[in-house]
Amino acid sequence: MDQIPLRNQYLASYRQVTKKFEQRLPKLPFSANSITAAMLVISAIFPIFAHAKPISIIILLIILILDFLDGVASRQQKTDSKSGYLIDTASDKISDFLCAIAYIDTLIGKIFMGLVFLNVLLQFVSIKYKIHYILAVRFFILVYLLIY
Amino acid sequence: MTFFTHSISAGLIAYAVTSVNPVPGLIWACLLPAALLDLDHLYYILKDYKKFKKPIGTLHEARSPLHEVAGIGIISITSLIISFWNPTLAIAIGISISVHILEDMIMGISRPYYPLNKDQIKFFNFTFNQKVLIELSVLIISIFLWTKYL
Repeated sequence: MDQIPLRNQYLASYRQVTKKFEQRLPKLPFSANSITAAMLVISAIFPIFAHAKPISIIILLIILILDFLDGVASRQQKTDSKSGYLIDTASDKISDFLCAIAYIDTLIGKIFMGLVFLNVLLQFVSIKYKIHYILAVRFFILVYLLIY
Repeated sequence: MTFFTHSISAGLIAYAVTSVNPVPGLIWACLLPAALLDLDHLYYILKDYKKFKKPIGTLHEARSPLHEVAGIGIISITSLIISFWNPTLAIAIGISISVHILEDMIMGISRPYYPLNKDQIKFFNFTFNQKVLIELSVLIISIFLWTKYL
């Protein structure tokens, strides 16, 4: 891959909102890869607590915050790169899967799993055509947990 | 990581999640998928024996797409299909395989979007001794936690 896929217009507008918040954050002491690895490890234990609210909501919030912070750390430390993009997106797909799998015995869980599959396909399309598309599967799961 | 450590650690998480709704053969559904995923190395090793004569640090090149993000796509659709028949089994197999992929990605070199993209990524620059130490720690902790279920 010779360049990082560009964000589509919707994701670009989301970045404009988070950029202002990001500028107020202190300098993070951890590398982006460490934060992503922590996010993955926490994602691995998420299914154990998936049906125990409010612990599941707290863990999912931590996962989403860490996912946001890895990007912040890479930009603060000026280590954002193609490799970082690949690590971040690949980790997101594994994390999405681990968060969705625990609910697969319900209809909504099956829909989440379908979205995980679609998200992997979209990621390959993003790599091929160099425009970044994602589905925020973990965010959908969080909304589901907050509502039901 | 060795297939044994993958099997014990990934199987532990799968079993911890699914043991509340046990089905016959559940323990094997948790342990085997993580171990069997490593069979794809054999194809590449047998194909190019000289290249992988010294397997330490080179096995990331002996992985099929199943070991990367494409594997997550395949296992997500497989789990979805199995879930209509037996959700507990779908969860056990899905977690077992995905945690194996996760461990390989964190510990060493991987090519996440292989075969479409062959760029390699690495989370950390672990030395061989550090990898052995982490593997032993994971193995000991996992065996200790397994005793809770056996």
